[in-house]
Amino acid sequence: MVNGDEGNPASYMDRSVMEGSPHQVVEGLLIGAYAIQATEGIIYTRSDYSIAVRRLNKALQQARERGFLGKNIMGSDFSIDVRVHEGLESFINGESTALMLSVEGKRPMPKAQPPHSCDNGLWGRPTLLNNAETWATVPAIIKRGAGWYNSMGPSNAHGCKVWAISGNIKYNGLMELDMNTTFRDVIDGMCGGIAKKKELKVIHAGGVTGGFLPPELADTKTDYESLLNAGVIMGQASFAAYDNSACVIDLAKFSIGFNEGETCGKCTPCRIGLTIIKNKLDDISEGRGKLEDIDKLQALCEEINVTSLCGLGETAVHAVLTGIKYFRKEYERHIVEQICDAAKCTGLYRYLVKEEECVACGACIKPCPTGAITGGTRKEAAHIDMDLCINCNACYQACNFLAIL
Amino acid sequence: MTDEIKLTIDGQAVSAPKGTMVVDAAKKVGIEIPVFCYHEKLGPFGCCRMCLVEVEKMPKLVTACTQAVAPDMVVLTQTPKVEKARKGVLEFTLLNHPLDCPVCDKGGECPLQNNTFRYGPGTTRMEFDRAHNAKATSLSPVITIDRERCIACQRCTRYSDIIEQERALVMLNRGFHNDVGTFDNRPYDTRFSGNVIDICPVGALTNSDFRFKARTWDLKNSDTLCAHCGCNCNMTMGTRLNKFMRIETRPNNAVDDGWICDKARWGYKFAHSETRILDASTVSGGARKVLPVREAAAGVAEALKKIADEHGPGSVGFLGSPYGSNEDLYLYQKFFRQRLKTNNIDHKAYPETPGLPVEHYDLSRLEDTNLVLLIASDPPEELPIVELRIKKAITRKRVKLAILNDQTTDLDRFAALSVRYNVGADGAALAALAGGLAKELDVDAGLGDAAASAPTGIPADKMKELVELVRTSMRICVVYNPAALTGDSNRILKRLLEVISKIPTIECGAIPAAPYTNAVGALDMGVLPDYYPGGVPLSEAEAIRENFGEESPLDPGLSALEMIRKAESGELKALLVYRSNPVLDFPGGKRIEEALKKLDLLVVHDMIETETSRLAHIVLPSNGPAYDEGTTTNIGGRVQYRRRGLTTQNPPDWQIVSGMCAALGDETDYSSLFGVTREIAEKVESYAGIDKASIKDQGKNRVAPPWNGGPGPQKADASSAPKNGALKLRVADYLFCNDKILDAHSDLKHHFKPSVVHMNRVDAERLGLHEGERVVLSAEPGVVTADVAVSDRCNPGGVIVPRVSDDQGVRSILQGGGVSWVEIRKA
Ligand code: SF4
Ligand code: SF4
Ligand code: FES
Repeated sequence: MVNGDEGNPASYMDRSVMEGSPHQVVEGLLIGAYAIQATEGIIYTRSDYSIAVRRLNKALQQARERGFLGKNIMGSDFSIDVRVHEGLESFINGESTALMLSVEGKRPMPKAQPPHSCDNGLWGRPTLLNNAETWATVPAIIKRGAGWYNSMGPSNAHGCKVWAISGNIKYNGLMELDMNTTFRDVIDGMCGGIAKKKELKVIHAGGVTGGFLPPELADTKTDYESLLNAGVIMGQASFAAYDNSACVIDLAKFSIGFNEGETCGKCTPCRIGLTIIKNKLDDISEGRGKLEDIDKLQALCEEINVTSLCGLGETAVHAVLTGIKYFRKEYERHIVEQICDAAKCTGLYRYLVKEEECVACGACIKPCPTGAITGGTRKEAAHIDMDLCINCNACYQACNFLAIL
Repeated sequence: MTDEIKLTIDGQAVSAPKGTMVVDAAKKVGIEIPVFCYHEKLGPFGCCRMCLVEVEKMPKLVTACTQAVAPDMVVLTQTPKVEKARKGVLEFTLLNHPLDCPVCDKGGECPLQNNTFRYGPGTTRMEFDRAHNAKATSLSPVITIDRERCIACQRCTRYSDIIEQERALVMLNRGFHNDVGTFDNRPYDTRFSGNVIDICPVGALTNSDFRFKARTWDLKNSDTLCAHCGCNCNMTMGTRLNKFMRIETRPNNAVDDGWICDKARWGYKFAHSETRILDASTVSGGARKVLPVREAAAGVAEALKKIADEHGPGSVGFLGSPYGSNEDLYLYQKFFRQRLKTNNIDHKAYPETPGLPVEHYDLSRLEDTNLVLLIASDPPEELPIVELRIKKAITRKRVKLAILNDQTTDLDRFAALSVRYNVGADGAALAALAGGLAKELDVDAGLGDAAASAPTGIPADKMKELVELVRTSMRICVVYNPAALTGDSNRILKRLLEVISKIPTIECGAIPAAPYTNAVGALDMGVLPDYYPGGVPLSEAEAIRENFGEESPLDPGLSALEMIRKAESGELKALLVYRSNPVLDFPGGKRIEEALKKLDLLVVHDMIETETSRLAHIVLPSNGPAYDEGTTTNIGGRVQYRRRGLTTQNPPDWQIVSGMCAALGDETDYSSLFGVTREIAEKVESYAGIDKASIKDQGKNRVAPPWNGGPGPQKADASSAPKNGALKLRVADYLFCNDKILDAHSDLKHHFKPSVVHMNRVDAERLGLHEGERVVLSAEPGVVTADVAVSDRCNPGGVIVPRVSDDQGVRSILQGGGVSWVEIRKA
């Protein structure tokens, strides 16, 4: 089987290879199928990858026409046919056991292993499953030999990996990297550095299940082990480099929010724990945080990490754990000083009237939905009651004299 | 899977069969690992994360419910790491669980309360705005769901998927918003829905009937048996202040595999029914007079004796019931044989004899075979637990199912092969199968003319396939319903079993699956005109005299249907009907009523008023299940103890009958129910060793009575010539029939169905009938109305009418044990 399901918002390497070089995927799958003498092949992908689906089907049709698929392939006794299975869009479908359940028409929820898929997989039969990207490398390895492939990368992680790179950098996109490459090599070298003369603040490695690295760790290599040692994971092999305009709490909120929405809900800690964490992060970003929350968050995250069944629950908390590990100060500043330096956490905004600029025109009074603004007429400067203010930004937009900040 | 694996749990050496999960292995040595989502019968899942333990050499904590034992594994269940994880998981679970325990029906027997008490944290670290959801809403007319309380363990949804094989109850939505529900919000009303109440580890799924009736710790629980069908599932009856409260499962792997059907759970309201017979009474000149029960019983004995003395022993008869307990039935046949010297004793309107030419399998053998061959049996409507066990056998034990029936059933979708014969052609179909096998083996099927090639409606290749499937299976379990076989088929069936038993490569056993509670017990107790208890035929005079006394009658008695006929002709003068309602349930309808009215004496001993009891000269009250204790023998031959849950002033049936015996000079003093059981064990060889101690908890299999060849098949009945345009009728069973037991007050009334006649497309076209049209089915001596269902449920030429209610009165148009013909016209 080919796993061509990508749920991480920032990853699209499987999609690219399925769209750009579908034959390569099919060829890889066929080689694998031949090796294990499989009789049925399935390419699993998302239904919203419509271009990939169309091209894969075309590639399969062409392969059938040329006799590379079907009965007695190229005159041998080996027969296999391959079909494309379009799953619905769900992050958890990418997990191997959930993916197989989805093909069986059941609710995709990861299963405990063992039994492993290679003994007892789809429909209870032994199943070999790899990512589209992995299968696509197979033809090249067969052609050029294992020695060639092994010559790349560090001794504990051969070959290379396609990364999806984004963030506040000059050039972004997919890049295939030798695993010896460091983040700094990528950011400063291939990506042309941080855009607009700003500075690197945080590397978000591993997508929504990954974590955050400070600039000091930019020399980390992009192989599995080095990443793990730094407290992050390769995850969906995407990373984003952000400048000072990024807030670590805001980024964590995004990751946790995504995972909270995508968890299948099977395991108690993941189902309930992630919601609790999301609420806590909301509290912090909206000024209701308490200092002890940081330690509690950390403890909760560790618990979810050890008690969850599948990779989602296990890794979903990286965003918070690494955030607290490397950026604790930023958490504290949000809680104690109620300031978000990156001005991302709108909940911490304070609206103030600059009395000297205010012309008491009264324009801001009407738009305020909670009646928090008093004065503002008859030469008296306006005043905003912070207890009533809900940070809706209406007064800011209404003021013609930039008197509100 | 018998290899034993040795491992260590908390320093204790444990050995468990391969494939055992660590939780179960730990349980064996008394180490409790807390669980929520794991249930032995549902298999590993691993979602609640409550059971995390440490296993040496494994980096992460593992869930003990999904981890199979492995050689030399070292498991630790009490390390700080484990305790921390448990506390964490419990905190998460409780944070999202409403603390409405004081008004929760699960209170006091709630795994969440118990686990929290034992393993939980004392306080919580945070506030959390728990998920809010509608409180009690109805999931079906009998189940209430409180989604706020659900901890998403998915036991219920997995039950519906794995055990019921229905996937009726499923998880909706994703993640934090997971909800248990059904497609399109339809009611969850399968035949086995109630079991989810027992397995739900919190108070999310509750019994609507029991809600707020009592706190669980105030209940008096009796370990008893279900008395609705021949499975005899084990269950616990909870009562309070002598009022029925609820029924729960009581697992017995040899019988029910841990489940009960909804008829058991919600079908016990009859215990307080308004139409219960509570007094003994006599009718003279239209006026009813109430008598003390014991006095009335003695009076009955004397009156019967008087008639027997006057007109000879052949003038009195006993019509028993496959619903009575072994003790009651034994005593009754003893009374009639020893005190009245008659063999006019029977309990049914279909032919069946004790003894099988193959082993009598118990229900667990359904799973331990290669092929289940269902003959004329429809377990979903007749013996629900057999349905679940067959589904388990097929989906988890790689057993194949072959069906030979005159109708399609709900189990057909699981069958490797289902073969359908014409309505009424069961004998011919069985003969064809036996003949086919015999030919392959080159033996004589012993069928003589019976194998005459009457049309079966089975295509030749299908029959061949069936013969092949049977012949090539190593182990076969035959399940047949004697009550659904017509005419002489029962004898042909036994020949078929004999043929199979002659095939050296096959190990074969059978389950005589009559749907009635104690059908097997009634045969074993000799409630038959031609067999003494223990399946001893009248021909064994020597043995009978020795065991039951010199004066035991040895002339064959009348069968139930013959007794009715003789009542009609005036030769039978007195009849005692025990827990049976021939007016409604026997073929013949009005004619039976007329026949019974001719009797000089009709005594009815029953639990609930019936059409028959209304004709009686003397009525005796039977307390029935829930009030009376007794032993019953299920279709698998297992003898079990049915305890009482409620008490009453009236004497139990066994005392009434032994009082009758005493009135005619029998001096045996039984002192207790088990005194009777002891006598049975002494007199009936196959019940040797059955006593209170041996059957107390899980019952014990009796030894099957010996096979003595049985009567051979007779020549096919020539009377069955088709009338013009008439169709052959068979009355099928429907589980939730609106009868005396599940009356209109029943919680299960949503299952009641209108009267329907299933007919083949071909016949419907020929008669110009359409789906849903109202028709009248008529046959001497009655008529029945029904709606047409055009389906392929049966072959052309026949119709199937499920018995859906007492009012429908469908048996009144049956014409005896053989095939019945009906004419159908628009209403
Ligand atoms: S309703 Fe009960 S059994 Fe079903 S998932 Fe919820 S807690 Fe589990
Ligand atoms: S299967 Fe039969 S014995 Fe078992 S619970 Fe249902 S009705 Fe009762
Ligand atoms: S009992 Fe093991 S995870 Fe639920």
